[in-house]
Amino acid sequence: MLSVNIQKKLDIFDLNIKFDVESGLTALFGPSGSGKSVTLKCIAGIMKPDTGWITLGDKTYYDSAKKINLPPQKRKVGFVFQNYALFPHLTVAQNIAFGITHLPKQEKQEVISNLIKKMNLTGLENKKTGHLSGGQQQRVALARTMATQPQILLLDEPFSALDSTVRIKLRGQLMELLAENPIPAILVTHDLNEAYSLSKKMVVIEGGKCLQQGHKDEIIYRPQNTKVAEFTRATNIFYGTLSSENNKVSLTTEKFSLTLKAENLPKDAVKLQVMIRPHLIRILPLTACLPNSNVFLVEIVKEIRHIDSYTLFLKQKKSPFDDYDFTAKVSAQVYQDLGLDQQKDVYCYLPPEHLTLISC
Amino acid sequence: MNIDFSPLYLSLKVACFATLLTILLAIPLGYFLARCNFWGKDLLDSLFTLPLVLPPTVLGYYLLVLIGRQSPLGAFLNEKLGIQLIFTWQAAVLAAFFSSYPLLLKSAKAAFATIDQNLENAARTLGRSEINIFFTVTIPLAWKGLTSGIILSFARALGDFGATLMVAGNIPGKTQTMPIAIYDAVIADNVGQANLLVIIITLVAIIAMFLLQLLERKY
Repeated sequence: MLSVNIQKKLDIFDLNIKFDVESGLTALFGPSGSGKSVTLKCIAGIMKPDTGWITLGDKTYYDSAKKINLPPQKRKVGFVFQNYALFPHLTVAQNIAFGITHLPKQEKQEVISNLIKKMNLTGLENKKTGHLSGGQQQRVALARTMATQPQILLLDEPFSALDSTVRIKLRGQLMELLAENPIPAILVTHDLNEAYSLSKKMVVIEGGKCLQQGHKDEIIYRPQNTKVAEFTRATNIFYGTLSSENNKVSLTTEKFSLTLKAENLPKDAVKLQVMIRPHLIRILPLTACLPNSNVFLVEIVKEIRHIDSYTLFLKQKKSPFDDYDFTAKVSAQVYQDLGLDQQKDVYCYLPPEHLTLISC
Repeated sequence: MNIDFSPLYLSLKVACFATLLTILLAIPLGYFLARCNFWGKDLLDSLFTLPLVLPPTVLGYYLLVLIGRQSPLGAFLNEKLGIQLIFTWQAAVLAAFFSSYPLLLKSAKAAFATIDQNLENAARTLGRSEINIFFTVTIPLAWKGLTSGIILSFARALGDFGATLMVAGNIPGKTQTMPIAIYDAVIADNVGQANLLVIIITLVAIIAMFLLQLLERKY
């Protein structure tokens, strides 16, 4: 297990990061310039924190109190750089061999040819890396790192420079590679989809601080604060006053009132925020049999068509406000079944079990 | 016709020694200036570049003051070690060195500064030692800049006139390099000798540049 607790003064903010990484892939997620890459470089030993500690299992990488700062050469980390950092004066095979020159010739040759085969680089062994495509360069970088059998894999925005088809293929290849070599891995990314689909655990970072860490679903469906909700593209955030009568808890905003599930509510809270992900809002036809709460008669005032889904902007029929009230996301199938291309007046239902509390 | 090849031989000897000295000193210094940040770095950088902008005779004069018998350094060398530098070919090497090293220093510094440091960081995470990284990553990546700097320095060393004349003088067979011999021939109205020397030095310069440019293609 990797344990990080570091502080470092930077130009624009102070880094103060604390998180743990178990096996599997952990995503360090946050906007650009939030301190993710710096954190990764501190783990690798390329940068030095001011105070704190970094340990991997029983091995101490860095500890300011004990005055330990292991050089990167001794940390056995695999680091994949954003621009791959391949050696342009060496061939593909020489790049892959770079970290294992101490091995006997035969063994080295075996490792190289295995990785060349596994990473689909056959035929490119003697090419200089400058002649390769982005995807090929990325695979060489991964192969070069894996050749050294690292104890932890650090990936700094590894897919950001690739076009989307190559990216999807490479993500799959990375997951295969990690399945074969069960070492902990940290992926730095500002792409929410990437973070969610590849990782088991997510750590949300902003302004040098760790906002929330936990299982990816916890981050997405139970954000601890508004910032995490915003970074994870939660759109339906409602702020209101809490009231309860007859065992029914409801939140009243300036536009409407919502019934909440009574569990997990903080005691004696008056004002609070809840949110619901757009794909969890249900669209019902006018003829439907309606649930008894959290149903609103709305008009679709705007819609965005995606390849396989639609984002709908919904405004309450009676609402005196200009702004829309809810954002919903429905699959193209549902859109077609409900005839939403013609029918713009519908009901929308916000299931109470999906309305999650955000601590302010 | 009897040709005296000693100026050519001397010029090549002086330029080679001066270039060797330049490689040994200017490359580490260029690396240091490219990678380290400290107070007064720009001032130091300007000071190191000064020989390039000063007139060669001024540079020669400074050298003369520095190593002449009246100076503390000159006196020390003369009395304690029995070395007298002034008016020797070694003084010509010093003159050529001082007038040519800024050219390599400048291009070495620029070459080191443009290297993506993530390449060196990658080599570190792959377990290579610092000294190994310098020779297998940094030097190869800076190679083009370094070799063109060496070529320029060598050319400058081969052609120095003013500074060399000041500290090494014009002693035929001892300190008379090609540029000085040519000047001598022109002053003595020996047009034939001057033409011959000029043609020889031109050919030598072309060959030397060609050989050095082969070096540039190594990486």
